[in-house]
Amino acid sequence: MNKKQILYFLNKEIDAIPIPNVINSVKEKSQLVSVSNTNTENKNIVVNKGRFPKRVLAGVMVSVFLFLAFSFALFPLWAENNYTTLSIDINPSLTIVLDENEKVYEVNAINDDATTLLNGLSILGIDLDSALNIILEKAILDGFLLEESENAVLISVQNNRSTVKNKIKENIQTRVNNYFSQHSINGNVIFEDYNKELEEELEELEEKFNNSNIHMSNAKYQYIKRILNRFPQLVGHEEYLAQMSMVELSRLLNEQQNSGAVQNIINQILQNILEQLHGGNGR
Amino acid sequence: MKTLLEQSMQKMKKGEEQAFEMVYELTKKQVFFTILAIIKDYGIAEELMQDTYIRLRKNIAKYENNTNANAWIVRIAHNLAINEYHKRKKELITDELENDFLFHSVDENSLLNNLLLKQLFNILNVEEREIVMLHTLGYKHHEISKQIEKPLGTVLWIYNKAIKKMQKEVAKDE
Repeated sequence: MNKKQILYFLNKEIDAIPIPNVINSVKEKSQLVSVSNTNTENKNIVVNKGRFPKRVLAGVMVSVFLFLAFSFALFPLWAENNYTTLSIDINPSLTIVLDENEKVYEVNAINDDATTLLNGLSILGIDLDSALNIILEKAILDGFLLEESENAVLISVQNNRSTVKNKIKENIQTRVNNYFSQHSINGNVIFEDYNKELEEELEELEEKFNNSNIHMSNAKYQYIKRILNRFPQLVGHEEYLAQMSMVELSRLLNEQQNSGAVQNIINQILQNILEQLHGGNGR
Repeated sequence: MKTLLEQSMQKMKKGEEQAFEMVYELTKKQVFFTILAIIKDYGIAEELMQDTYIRLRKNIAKYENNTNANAWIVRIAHNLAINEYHKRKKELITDELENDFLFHSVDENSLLNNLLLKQLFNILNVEEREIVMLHTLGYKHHEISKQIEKPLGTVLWIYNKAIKKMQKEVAKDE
């Protein structure tokens, strides 16, 4: 059964299950609170406000002033209390969610290589620096990063506060660069900003792929889009580009227009398609 | 252009009971099955479905006009179900589905046809169940990603992993 058949039959099975009817009990147990009622209540408050003694009004104003003053003073502290999502692409692609203390709250594999990379690692609850060390160490062990060779890591950081985002970006840059120099790795750290507008496009693209194992982060897709802008002859071959590691993609982006490398990739894609067709006929 | 659901939500804000009935009809399937996918118990799902609509009625003033009403309502259902799931996690027994109580109101013949749903409940974890269910109900992956607050890549990955698990089980049965 393929993916579409599973969804089709699952939908049929769902349709066969009766949905409980709770509408009457909901109506009995709750009253519909209309906005106009709320507004009337608010209007009443406004009308009553005129009857407040001046001393009470002054007291309220002082309280509001003090509250606002404290809010502004404490705002940076509150604002930093939010979570950060990182995506890391080497060839493994994974996402890490950090809590407000920059400790790993959640880690998710985006592709098969990331499952291999994360296999046996326990990084939940540890700080970002240690987590990066562990991930990079394992990436070398699994052969995703090569010592004494060219490497590239693509990172994107998402946080509502740009100060927090930039701080984390700087921290990652320093940490990864230090790691590379300590391990004689010729590596490049690339940053891409998360682009919300690409979400739908990326989803549609991934659904078109023949291979359901091919997934990439928003950042990697943005990077691939840069390549497609530079080499429009590669448009339509996103599935192949998605499987390339970041070092291959960064080499490609830096190629000259009409270079042999781009033509080689197209040739390789055509060869793969032919091989698949040949294999299919042989079965 | 406003959808019928959004129009009904705006009427609900004005206190129109009939509009609530329309909202209920338009969303009951998504609400119920989102909860059921998380909680795996028909009876509790029914109670939480009721709570979802009670909460909706109480908080209708908070709904911002012209925003995705369906997502807003399903999000209420998701939050209630996830809270209940965590509360009951320790009490839930892994083989609960062997009792088939999920299908207590479905006759034997249709039960035989519910092979995929049984698999969904038996072999998938809570995250996988919810993602597969929402996609089956017609949500796009990027909408699910917002709904459950996970990156799109992760949602796609979990979804494909879940489908593969189900395919494997189907192959076993065949």
